Amino acid sequence: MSDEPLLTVRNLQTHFWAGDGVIPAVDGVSFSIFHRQTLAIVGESGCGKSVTAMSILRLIPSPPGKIVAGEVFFKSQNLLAMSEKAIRRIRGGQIAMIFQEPMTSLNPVMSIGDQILEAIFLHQNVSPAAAVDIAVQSLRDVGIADAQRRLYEYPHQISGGMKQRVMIAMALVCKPRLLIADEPTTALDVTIQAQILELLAAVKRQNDMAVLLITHDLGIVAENADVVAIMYAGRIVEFADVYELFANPIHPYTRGLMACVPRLGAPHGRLTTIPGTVPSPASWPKGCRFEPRCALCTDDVRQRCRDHMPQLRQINDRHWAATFLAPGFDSAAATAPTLPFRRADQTPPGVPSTQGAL
Amino acid sequence: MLSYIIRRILLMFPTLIGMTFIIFAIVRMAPGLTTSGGMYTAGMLQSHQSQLAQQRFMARRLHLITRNGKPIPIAIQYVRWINRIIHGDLGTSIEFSEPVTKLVLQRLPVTLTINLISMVIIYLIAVPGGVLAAIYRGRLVDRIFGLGSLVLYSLPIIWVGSMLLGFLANPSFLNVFPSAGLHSTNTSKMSYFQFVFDYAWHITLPVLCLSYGGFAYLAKQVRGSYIDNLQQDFTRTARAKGLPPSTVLLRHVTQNSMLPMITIVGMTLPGLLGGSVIVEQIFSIQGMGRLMFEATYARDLPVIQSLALVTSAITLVSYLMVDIAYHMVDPRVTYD
Repeated sequence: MSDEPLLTVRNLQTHFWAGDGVIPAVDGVSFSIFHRQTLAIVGESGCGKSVTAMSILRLIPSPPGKIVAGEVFFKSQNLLAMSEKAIRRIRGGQIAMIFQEPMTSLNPVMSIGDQILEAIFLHQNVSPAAAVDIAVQSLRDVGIADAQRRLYEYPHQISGGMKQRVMIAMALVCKPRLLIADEPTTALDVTIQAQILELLAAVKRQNDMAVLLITHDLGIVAENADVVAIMYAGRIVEFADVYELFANPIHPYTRGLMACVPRLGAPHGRLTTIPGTVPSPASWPKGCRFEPRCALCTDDVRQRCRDHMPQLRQINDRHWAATFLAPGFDSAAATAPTLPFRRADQTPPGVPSTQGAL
Repeated sequence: MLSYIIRRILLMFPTLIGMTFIIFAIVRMAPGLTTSGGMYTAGMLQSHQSQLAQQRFMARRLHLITRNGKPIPIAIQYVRWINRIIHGDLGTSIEFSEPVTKLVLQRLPVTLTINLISMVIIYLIAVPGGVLAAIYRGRLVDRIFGLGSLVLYSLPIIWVGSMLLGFLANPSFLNVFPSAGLHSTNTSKMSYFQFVFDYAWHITLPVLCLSYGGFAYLAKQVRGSYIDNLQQDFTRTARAKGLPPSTVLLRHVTQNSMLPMITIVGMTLPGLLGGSVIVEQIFSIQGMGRLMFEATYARDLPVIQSLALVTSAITLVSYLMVDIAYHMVDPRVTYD
């Protein structure tokens, strides 16, 4: 792993103007991805993870959205400062993206072949015959049989899993250095999910690229990610190496998420939940945004949580967290009591067992 | 593709037969048409004929009675009417004493030309306007265009036509356009270009009347479908590929926005034919619309019946073309 990060996002802020209010969907997000790394961004719906992904390629529809601050460095170029024309060369070329809804992400009235060829001609200077060869090979690489014939088919003629394979093939034709996968398996059923994730891992190895994986599924994270960023209400609240995170989650939100994952073999009972919902940006508290739902907050830190926004602090060389409950923030918080939402008979959450369900 | 077209054409026949049935029935049920031959008096019958003779003459011409004066059962009348249509005989006009076929062939090209020109103008204004309104949604361009087309849509043709005539083709105001007809009286002395210019000059006001309201509806549809498709996931995919906005719009969004436009082509033509009745009357143009008006006024049964049939057939053909165009534009449309 080289020392230079492939992509560095620094203090990204993307706001949306809706009606008379401003919604800061992404409110100061920073992270780095290194070569060949898979970074997973995890969080509930509406926490800003997709907006973060879209902001990197400046795909935020404007109006109503706007990236108001921050820097995104990709190989020492600031993507947010370059011209529209320059970023178009990056999109689909060096950084490719696949989306949540394979059903609607392909143009329904254009053949699969034409859609792939369009991407090839845009970024590579090749003859039509060579482009067709590349397209056929790309479909084979994602495990589509009879690739030659598929080129002439339309999206409605193939299944959902196959469409996501086509999306991946289309994203990979220009050999990107970074693939942004925005909930690539959410719309697919579990067996297809497993196949697609396996495929993503395989193409990542073959193409020597980094992956930014947006998901809300901790099982997917445990299986696929090297590094995890947990997002809540527009901010990253915890950032850690995947083994470190599952062995030693620090932020109450992360702990809450892990407690929610049902386990095979666990005694039957109600599933654990985090009380409440993500607050709307209008009612974000001044201090820690998770405080109103926090089950770990103790009386001695509560006032501090309410008054001050905890910043992301380094816990050890592989772990950052934004909570006053982290060891080192406060001696009182360091001796946090038993977690109320972790079952007493369980050891600290290890790798959650949704993999068993796959 | 070919088998689809053939099948689609074959499917038109049952519809056409149903239409002839309805047209025949409605015309027969309309009061004042066939029951009293006394309606037809003006100028065309010799004065020495008795009223009874006149009635018999009319009934004979309308194929209501046999040569011997025996009434023909209505079912037989229908079958014989169909038989004559198949042989290209649409009957003889009572008002004009001419074969209806000849009248239709004279008048149809006039109306179709004006209507097709109007349709092209409607699309040339509505499509770019709608696309611009979609791109600049909510901005000034969008609002002006939306308000403008709504205002035009709300103006009745008959009022606009009279105003245009009164202000632009009137010696007391501006006498810029001719007030009636399609050609000047001295066309024989004109060169080809003069002839074309003269024609264009004559049809300006009628075409204006036919098209000003038509683009409001189309523009709204175009705007709607572009806005819809601009927000679709495949548009985002196209942008994520690195395509420039122009290609995203002209290729991906346009392809998907074609379908409603095609549907409206199919609906516009029959609609315009209806509008022609008023416009041709206002501007004294000898087209199908005016013929329809005159025939109805004179209770000219063969003409009314034939015009209804011709209009229906034109509607059917334009729907056929819509279906074929659908089939070509959208691979999802199949009738297999």
